[in-house]
Amino acid sequence: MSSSHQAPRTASEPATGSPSDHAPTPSPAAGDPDFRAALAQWRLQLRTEVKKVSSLPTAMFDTIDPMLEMRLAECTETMLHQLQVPGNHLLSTNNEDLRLEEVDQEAIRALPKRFAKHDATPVDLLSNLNAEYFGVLADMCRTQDGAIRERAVGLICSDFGITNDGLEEATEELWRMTVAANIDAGNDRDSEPELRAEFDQVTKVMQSSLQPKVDQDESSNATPRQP
Amino acid sequence: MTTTMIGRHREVVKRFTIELVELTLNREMHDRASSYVADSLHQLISTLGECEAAGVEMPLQLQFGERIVFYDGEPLDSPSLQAARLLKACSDRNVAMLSFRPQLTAEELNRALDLLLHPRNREALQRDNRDRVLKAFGVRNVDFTLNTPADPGNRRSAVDANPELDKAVGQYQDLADVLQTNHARAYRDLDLAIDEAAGVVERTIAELEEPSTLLSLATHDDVDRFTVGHSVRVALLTLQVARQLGLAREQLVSIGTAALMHDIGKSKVPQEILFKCGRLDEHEWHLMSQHPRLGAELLLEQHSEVDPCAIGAAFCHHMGPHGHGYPRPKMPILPSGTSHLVRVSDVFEALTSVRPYKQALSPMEAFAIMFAHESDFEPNWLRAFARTIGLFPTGTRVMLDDGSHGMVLAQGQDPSRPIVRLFAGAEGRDLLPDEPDSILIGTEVEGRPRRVLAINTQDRVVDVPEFEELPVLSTPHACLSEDLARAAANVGRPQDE
Repeated sequence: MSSSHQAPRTASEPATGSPSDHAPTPSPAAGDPDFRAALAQWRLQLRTEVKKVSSLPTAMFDTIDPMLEMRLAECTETMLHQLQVPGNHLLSTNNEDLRLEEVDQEAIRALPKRFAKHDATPVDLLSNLNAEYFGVLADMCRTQDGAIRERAVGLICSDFGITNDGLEEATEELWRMTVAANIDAGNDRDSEPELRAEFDQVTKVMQSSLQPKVDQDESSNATPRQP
Repeated sequence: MTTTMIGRHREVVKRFTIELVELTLNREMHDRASSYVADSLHQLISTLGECEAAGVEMPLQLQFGERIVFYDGEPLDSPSLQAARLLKACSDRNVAMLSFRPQLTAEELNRALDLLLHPRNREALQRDNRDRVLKAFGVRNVDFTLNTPADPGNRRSAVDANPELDKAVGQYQDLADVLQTNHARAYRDLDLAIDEAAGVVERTIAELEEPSTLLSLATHDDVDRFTVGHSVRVALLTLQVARQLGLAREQLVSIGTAALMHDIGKSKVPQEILFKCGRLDEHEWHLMSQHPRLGAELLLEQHSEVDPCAIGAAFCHHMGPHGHGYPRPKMPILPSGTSHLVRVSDVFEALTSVRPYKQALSPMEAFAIMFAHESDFEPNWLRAFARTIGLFPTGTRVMLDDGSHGMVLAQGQDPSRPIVRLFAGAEGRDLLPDEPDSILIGTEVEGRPRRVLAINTQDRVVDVPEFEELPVLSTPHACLSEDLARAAANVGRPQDE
């Protein structure tokens, strides 16, 4: 191979797999939790075992074929691997072993009529998009922290037009949307106080996120930036 | 050699090719020394042994066209569907054929893949370098035949070109490839390539506007069964329904991209769990059930490019209409129409595909199960989906009651009576020159209406019961376009009528 193809490899780059990449891995310390190191140690032992069984001196291995020792070890490893996971591949598995759901033939025969049943309301792919979007962002506000929460709050404010000035009005609009979702989810009006408490938590997160910006704006107004 | 033997050879070679494609995808996603790559390598070596044991001619030779992998001059179309990376690597290095000897070992194969896949080794296989490089890398049991007339053993010319198949496979590969890229980027905490995904979806929509075999390919992608391939199929199903609703192109792109990316959160679920064959324990299930939330988070971080409907579909595609399913947000979320449709497509695809623990159900069996659990879905969306996809979705291979067989070309007015393109006539004989090559099921031929007797799923033949004819609808079918309705009405009729 020409030298132009073997530029020095940095730690972050994947190995290119040239023969020089196969230097023995240092033995893991006792109790070392790194399974890769343990695996490397196991492979080394396997090669040693293969070499022992062959009764050939190392020099003979190298003279005959420098790759022989490695290949024998790999072959043994493959055999062991196969013993551990017999027939683990999907397509090599007999299809008869795979589960097959039983389906009633009458239910199948009835399908065309069920397909043809008249729809009460026409389907609309764009229905509830806003309510869904707000619901997801509100969930992120309540369940996440750090950057994700900040991002969600920022998006609620920007995409639903919420500002410090119109916070109360805008949140009431969002509350109406939330109540509609609650009813559609099959919940009755009794669940609304609990829902309101949850909603207020989201509003608090929004307020606390909006407030510092106002303070920041005010402070930046108070002390003009030095050139 | 008998036909059965040839069939068996092709099956095991097909499996070898699928595993080779999976190996290249694993090499893309993980470090070359990772346990994922090691497992793939061992599996492939084992299958090479099976090929030899089955009597496949050694060395095993795979040929590489622009879009399709070939064996013995015949296209291996299903393994090719996610082989974009492998095919591109071969094309970049001018490799026309790879030959694998049975003495090949896992480590040697990994080194051969270094030459084929690593960007720095792009010129390593040039004619002047090749032999020296192979020696230096200790690669003796993989031959790289270059696409030059001077290279002995070059059999590229023996490969039959099929532009229609190439085009459809290419479109499918682009969808799979852009999704694979996004999964790999999410896995490595890099920014997603959403605009690229939207671009591919837009081209797919254009493809679906013309008669194409793209949808038929979607029924037999065997690689990576339930992440990338699954999402591509969900996107194609969703787009098929969305197109019938007459949405603007921009909205279709948005919905198609949402469907394509709906499972992006799975890139953050450990692969041991994602691909586990057995039942998940409580902890594993908890991690798995986080994927909708993780997906929404990933997309949220990219908000400047992502449509809110993609964030919603990622979060809500496992949520039922009345608050059941998961995740369970503290405040109830009302899923959008898009999320309802993606959920129906998602479940239908899962039921009709092979999984490590189950066989594929036929579409009609899947519908029977889904309608039995109708309350798990928004019922109007379930029916809209069923009417568009039909009992015999486009691309389904069917056998008719006179022994003829073919493939579903389009849906008719009645979901049990699709339009079928015939590959063979009655009793399996060749079609006669004056015989129509397509037929609307239910049309009378020689005094009796033709009906579908059986269909081929991925892994079995399923008998089809006799369906009652539906009364003619007074209004046009909600999901049947005018063009299709005209085509359905004219199919099978002599032209002078």
